[in-house]
Amino acid sequence: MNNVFIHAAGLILSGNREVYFIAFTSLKFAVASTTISTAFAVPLGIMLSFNSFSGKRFIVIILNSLMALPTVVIGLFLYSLISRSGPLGGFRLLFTPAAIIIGQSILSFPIITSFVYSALAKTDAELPETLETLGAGGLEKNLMIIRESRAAVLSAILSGFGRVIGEVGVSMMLGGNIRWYTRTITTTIALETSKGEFELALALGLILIIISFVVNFSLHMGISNEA
Amino acid sequence: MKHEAFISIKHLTFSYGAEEVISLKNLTLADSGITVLLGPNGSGKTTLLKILSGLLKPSNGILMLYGKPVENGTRKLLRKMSIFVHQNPYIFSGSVKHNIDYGLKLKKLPVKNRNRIISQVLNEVGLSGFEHRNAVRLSGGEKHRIAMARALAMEPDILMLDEPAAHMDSGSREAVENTLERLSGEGKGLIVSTHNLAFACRIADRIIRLEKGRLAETKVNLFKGRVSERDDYFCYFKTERITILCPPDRGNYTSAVLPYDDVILSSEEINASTQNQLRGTVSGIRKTSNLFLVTVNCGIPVKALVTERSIETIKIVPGRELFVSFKASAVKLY
Repeated sequence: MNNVFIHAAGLILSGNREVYFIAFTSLKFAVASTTISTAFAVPLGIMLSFNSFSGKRFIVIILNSLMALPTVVIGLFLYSLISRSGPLGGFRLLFTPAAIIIGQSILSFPIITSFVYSALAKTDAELPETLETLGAGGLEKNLMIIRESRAAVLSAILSGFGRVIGEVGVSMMLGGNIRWYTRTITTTIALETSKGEFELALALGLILIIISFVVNFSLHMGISNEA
Repeated sequence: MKHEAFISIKHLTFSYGAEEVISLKNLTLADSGITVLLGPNGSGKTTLLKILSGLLKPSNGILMLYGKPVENGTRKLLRKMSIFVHQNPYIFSGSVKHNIDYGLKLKKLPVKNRNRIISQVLNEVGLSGFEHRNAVRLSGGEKHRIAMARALAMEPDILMLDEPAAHMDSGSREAVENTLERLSGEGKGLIVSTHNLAFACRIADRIIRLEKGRLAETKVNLFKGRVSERDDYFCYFKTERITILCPPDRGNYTSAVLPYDDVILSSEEINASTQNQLRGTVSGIRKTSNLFLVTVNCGIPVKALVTERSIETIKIVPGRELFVSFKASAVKLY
């Protein structure tokens, strides 16, 4: 077994092209999907935090429920929509990077929204009123709320990122695990492990851990330096 | 002092859910001087200030800005004209300068002007040189003054402050009082809420008492002026038109407070231990719950609470000349 770890480390240190391509692909999909879901989830989280309206409780319950949705279920629903015979089959999205990014965006959306909502619900109610009284409009107000709650908002975004970089169901079902195209770290690990090829799986597993650590570390350092 | 009706209220109510927290029949507020909303916690002071500043919409009734009903367009104008400062103001993370600069940036002012305004308002609240201090690490009193400076930088016509002296040490409270007096002297309109009668008496040109969201009688005469001289027995408190004898006390007082209950009305001059005796004309009589509130104009209006029997026996009617007497010890100086 020791040899397996040595081979895995060798794959990383030798700059194996496929290993780095897969890692980059995973990172690319995760960043794209997290960015897309953040663009919708953060404003919705802010809106839910600072407004009272009928149906708000229902929306929060739905979002909380969706957080626990298995990735394969999202994969399955989207598969039925974008497969050739599905209603969106004409767009030919199945087994493309776009399909993975859409699936992962849907996956991270309820997580980011719920976490932003929970974090901002504890924020001083004086903040939005202070911004209004100083003449801030809707966009300016939201941007300042995000700035003032940046640690909490960033944690929410990182939770969404963590969910998608480590998921396998959506990538496998919608991406098809196509080599040099839609193959990601997690789909490769699943495939290689089933084949009994542990070296590549372990090497990618290590890279996944390193990516998570580096992303979290650098963003948190950025916040603490600014504070 | 000018007292134009900046805001007038007619049959205004505000409810949180089913609970009605504000119910005001009539109220007018001027755009100059210091008006104090006085009342215990939960009396609706904060809610009323938020309505007056346009942050909250009343549930019913009319809010008028210079005689025009406050609707969508006028609400924006009201927001521009007034700034509300919370009891526990939110301070943005970062420097003091960043806090004050935020609103100025929204106004798209050039950097040079912004820097000048920042120095100026910090000087006004007594925190010159605080520009680069971390705002969130300041004391509670200093944070409140930063919030005041941030509001002043926007050059509002009316500044609305919610409990500005609450939870402050005496030094900070004194600094806030000095700032309020200076701003009022510069012609700025101020509406201040407080539960502290002494604070209200020290700063107010006019006191409005709130209880359970309704207007209540202040039950005290508030005279503004200064102590002109002192001797071994008395302080001589001089208002615009009259001088009131008060208990001997050291201090730089600007307000004298006389409870309505301590004022005696008589048809003739009385020979008693009441050191203050004024002559005036009845200008108003109003029935309160079981007593009558009589206003006698003695150069300045003095109010007294009397029974219905007194009204009948002394024959108190509008225009009648009366003597107003009260003990020096009944007057409290602030």
